[in-house]
Amino acid sequence: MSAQIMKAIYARLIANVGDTGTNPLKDAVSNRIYAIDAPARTELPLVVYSLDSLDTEHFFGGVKRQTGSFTVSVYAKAEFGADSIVDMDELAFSHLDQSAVTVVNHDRGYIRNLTRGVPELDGEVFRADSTFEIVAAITS
Amino acid sequence: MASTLAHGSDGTVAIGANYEAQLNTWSATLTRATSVVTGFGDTGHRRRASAVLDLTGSAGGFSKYGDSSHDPTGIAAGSATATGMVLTVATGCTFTFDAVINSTAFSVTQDGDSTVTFNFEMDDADGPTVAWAEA
Repeated sequence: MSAQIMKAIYARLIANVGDTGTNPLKDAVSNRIYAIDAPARTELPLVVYSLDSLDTEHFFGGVKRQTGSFTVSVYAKAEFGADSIVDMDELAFSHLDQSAVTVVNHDRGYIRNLTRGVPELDGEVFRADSTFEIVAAITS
Repeated sequence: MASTLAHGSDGTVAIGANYEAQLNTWSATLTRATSVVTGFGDTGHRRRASAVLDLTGSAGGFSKYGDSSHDPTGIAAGSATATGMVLTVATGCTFTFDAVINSTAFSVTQDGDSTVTFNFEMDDADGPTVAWAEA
């Protein structure tokens, strides 16, 4: 089930916003959105997301509800300044918070923000980690 | 059948027709009224229990939507008529009785869950029919 949740998160991260035909987050990082880890020497800025936990809640009749927690990390060069990382974290928040996504074999996935990213300087890189929650009930 | 410990996942609840919610918990309490009949000279309380058994409880879970049958206020077509209930602890271990739903409690939290709880009281002159799987 975690694969279906992961795919749903990725699909949302790369999806265009409404009918605008654009995705400001994806455009800001030039499509560099990766699961778990980015390839070595990938150009910055970029986004990495990872599923931290996936809890199952059981209901009578065999129905199950999944609640996943995932982290979206935004990386940018320190030389661009803290503003750039804050701006991209804002794009991630706006793109994901309170959004409904399609999850295979689930009724839907509903994503909401849990914690906002705070810029951290890691060598020559600025990094901001935001955590989100995705909730979906298994239908088959 | 060997002696077997029941788990919550073995249970279920049926609240009659025309209800829809995704339930994951129920609770019930069987009670008898008692009277203290302590007399002079007694050095400890004496009690007598009523022959009339009562059963009250609740069943809870999550609200559903997307279909006209998901109206949780539609139990027994919204009437005060008692509805047949079956509380199951495990397969073959059940309490079956008629009950009225005396309250339906909703709780919706913006960053949490949307839950519903049905509170019921028995309306069954001969009490619940209890079945318990035994060897």
